[in-house]
Amino acid sequence: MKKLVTMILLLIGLSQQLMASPELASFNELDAIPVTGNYADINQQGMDNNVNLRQQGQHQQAKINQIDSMNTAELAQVGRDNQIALLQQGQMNQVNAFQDGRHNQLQGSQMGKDNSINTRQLGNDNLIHFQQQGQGNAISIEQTGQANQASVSQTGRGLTASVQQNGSMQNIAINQGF
Amino acid sequence: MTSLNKITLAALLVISSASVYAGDNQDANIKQTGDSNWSFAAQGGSRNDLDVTQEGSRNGAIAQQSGTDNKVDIKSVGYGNQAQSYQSGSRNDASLKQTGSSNLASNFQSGVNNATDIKQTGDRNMANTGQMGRANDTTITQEGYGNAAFGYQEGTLNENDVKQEGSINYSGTSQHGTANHADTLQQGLLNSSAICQSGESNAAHVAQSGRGNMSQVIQY
Repeated sequence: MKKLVTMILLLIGLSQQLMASPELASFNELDAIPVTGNYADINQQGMDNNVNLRQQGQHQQAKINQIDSMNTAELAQVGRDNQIALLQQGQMNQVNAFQDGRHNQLQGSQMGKDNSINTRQLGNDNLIHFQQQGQGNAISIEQTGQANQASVSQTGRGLTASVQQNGSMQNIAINQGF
Repeated sequence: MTSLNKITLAALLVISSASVYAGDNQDANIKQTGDSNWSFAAQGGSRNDLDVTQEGSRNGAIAQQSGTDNKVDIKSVGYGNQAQSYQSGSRNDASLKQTGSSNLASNFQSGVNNATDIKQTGDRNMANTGQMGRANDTTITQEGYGNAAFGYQEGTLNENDVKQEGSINYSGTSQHGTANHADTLQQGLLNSSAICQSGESNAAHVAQSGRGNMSQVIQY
């Protein structure tokens, strides 16, 4: 009985804390805190928004979400074992991404019309995995180094995919369909 | 009475009593109504409490505390008011609330487990904070148009939270050290956020909604 009362009191206290500022409470919760390296999480909702990200070092992570139209993202990571996760939903969104180093990864998707992404990776063992859904989307990938991988999946009409690799032991996979 | 005399009198009254407040469990209250008033207060020791309330325009309050578990609370209502607080030590709290326009709130803390809470409601207000040490926490909330928040933190496990609602607001956060967190939330039009972090295991979180917003994050 004592345990039950204690538990109820704890739950009341917890719910009061959460009710005090629900918006800030959820806002302050970071999705993931890396043990080493830095982490950036940027969410934008609306039109004409812009993200400019620069990360330098090892084990950096960036997560970008842009929802609506005519948004732009300029992303640059320099170092090793860096990761970018990207999601854009809407029309006429644009991404320029640059990664320089080893074991860098860029993964993400664009959903909507007339979106475009230009990516450039310099170094070895880098990975790009990107998906586009909608009409008039375009992707351009350039990888320079050894053992880089690029995987592109596009669904819709009027699509453009351009992948250029300079080096050896590299892999490209492009899948375009309706 | 001229404004200079008012400043001098307030300074004499409070500063002269500051030595009296150098101790533990002391309370000081200042209330000023009107224009161009200034107050200065200093407390040293532990568990001291300082409350300042100002109503009017172009008023200023300066508070200084050193020690442990001290608290300063400055409230101002009106136009062109300034609130400044300086705290050193551990577990100190500063709360600065301003309602009106063209107000300035500044707070500087050094030590461990200090907390700053700044709330500004109105237009063209500015908040400026600096914290050095460990496990310090800054929260800045601004509602209105053309407001600016600047936060600087140096050390470990510090947190800087900014929430701005309105248009053409700016938030700039600079953190240097290890495991620092920066959270910026902006709602409205043409807001901009810049976060610069150096060191290891720092995290930046930005959420913007509206149109024409800009976010810049630099980590190295």
